[in-house]
Amino acid sequence: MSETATVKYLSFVQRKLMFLGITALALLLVAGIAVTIGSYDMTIVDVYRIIAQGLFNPGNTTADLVVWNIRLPRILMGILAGAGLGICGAVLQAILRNPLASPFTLGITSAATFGASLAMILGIGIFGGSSFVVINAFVFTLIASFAIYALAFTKKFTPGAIIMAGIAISYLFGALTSFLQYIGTADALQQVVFWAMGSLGRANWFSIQVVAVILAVTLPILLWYSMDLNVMGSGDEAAKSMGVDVSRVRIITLVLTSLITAGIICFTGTIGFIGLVGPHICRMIVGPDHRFLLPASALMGALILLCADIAARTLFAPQVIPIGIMTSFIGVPFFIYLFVKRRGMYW
Amino acid sequence: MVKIIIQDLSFRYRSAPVLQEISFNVGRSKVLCLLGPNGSGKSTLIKCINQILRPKGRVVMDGDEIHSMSISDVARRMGYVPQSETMGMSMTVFDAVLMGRRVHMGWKPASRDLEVVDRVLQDMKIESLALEDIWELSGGQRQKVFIARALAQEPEVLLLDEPTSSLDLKHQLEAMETIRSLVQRSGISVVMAIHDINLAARYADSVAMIRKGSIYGIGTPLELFTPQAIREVYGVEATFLYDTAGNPVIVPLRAAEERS
Repeated sequence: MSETATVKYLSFVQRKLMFLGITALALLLVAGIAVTIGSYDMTIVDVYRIIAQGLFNPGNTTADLVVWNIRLPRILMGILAGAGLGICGAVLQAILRNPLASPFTLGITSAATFGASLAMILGIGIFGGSSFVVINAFVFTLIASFAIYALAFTKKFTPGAIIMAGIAISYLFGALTSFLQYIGTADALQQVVFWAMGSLGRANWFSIQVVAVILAVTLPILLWYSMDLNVMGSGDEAAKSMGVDVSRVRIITLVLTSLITAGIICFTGTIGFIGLVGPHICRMIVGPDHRFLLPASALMGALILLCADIAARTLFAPQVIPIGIMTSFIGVPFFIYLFVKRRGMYW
Repeated sequence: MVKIIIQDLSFRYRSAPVLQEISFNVGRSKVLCLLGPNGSGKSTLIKCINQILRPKGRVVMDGDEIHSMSISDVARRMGYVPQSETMGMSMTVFDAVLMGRRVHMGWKPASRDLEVVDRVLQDMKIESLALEDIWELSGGQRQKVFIARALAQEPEVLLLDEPTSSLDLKHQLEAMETIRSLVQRSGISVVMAIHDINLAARYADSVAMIRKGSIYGIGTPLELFTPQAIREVYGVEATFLYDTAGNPVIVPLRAAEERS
């Protein structure tokens, strides 16, 4: 076969698939290492064996209990949260045609912090019970999302309108949270600050199931829209001429990314940076084709979050540094390295 | 044979009318150029034809009302090359052209989609650039990529908005020759907004002159281009020469005096 454009392109696609495979293997390895870390010593081989056995025949040894009840929930939440936030960032950057877009740009995370603060400082919750901080964060994230949609609707969901609405909502909830912190007690304030820095330590099998179900429903739909996201990068008019119902795709993907973000941060608190930088790192490597970029961003987001969690738990052990701080410490140098090293432009 | 009928097309941005009762036909395998000064409504008219904007009036293609079709159905039959594209994400030429197949392909391109992309890259003579970044190409090369992307849609009608505006003289001629040969080879019809009146005179089968959102006149370049038409549409005095093929060559002289 002669070296036609298609042959060259298919070999280019092979390289992208290879990157996805390598990243998936790296994630599997890092996840295994992450489970070994803690006061109870075990090797990575023990970890994989215990997990494999536990899938079919749960054991009752101390090692089984440590892996399945203590460490695995944290690691799985790290994978799910990193994957979800990474994919949300990639989708938002595409539909808003803005390299700075991430779940945080839309301001919905400040609404989550407000919801959690309301519960922790004033004890006000949408529902009572042990999960009312979580439910408050989730509900206020959705309220902020719908406020953004309502504002953006008046300007036909243009990228600029969505970003402006997000910034307005972000400042509003930021101010409300500051007011609550101003009137709150020192103890409550400490709780809020700790929550806002993010943590995987609150993960349990219930929260994992909730996030897993949300991702299982939403990610295939987002992946289905990959080609439309590619086309929307050319601008709204060009995208319409290629058959994309731009407003419809923008609304659907916004709703889905809001749901994913709400589902994750209500359990973990705000974990910044992953949604911004995960997609950028992948775009530099696999390019902007969202059929590859979305899965790559999910894998990279999970990988960065797990690495950050390992660092957070080991650097100053037994003290655990909040994950939100570590994601930036780990991701920024890597991002700057790629940004400087890569020839030409990527956005 | 008529390919598209445009009938009583009117459009307004908020309260300002931009197009008023525009009517004309485009023949099958013909090139029609829209001419007129800046702000006359050429680009708006192009966007009204393929439903990017929603005008009043009718656009009928082979008996089918365009404005009752879905966006995807329109995209299967009409390709569009915008005047300019905002700089976006870095992307290879192949990926950019493959986007034109979006209305035909599923999640994964079939071998036919790849064949079509390969063919249009060859047609536009840019196959060697397949893995180059579109934003690192020259303006002329990038314009060819956008035309290739529209051709990958396998349209029956190609709408071009100022396709030569960013090109030097050589590339202008190349682009127009390519479009002309595509029309002859594949039988598509072309509607093109263009500023260069001499390129229109040389390559168009018919021209429509637009003034303040209304049709001033429609005909062949030879019929329509007169010193009076140039003065009334552009406000410019011009003298006419003729090339060896008998096409008019318009030489603008000076701005015409305002008449009360």
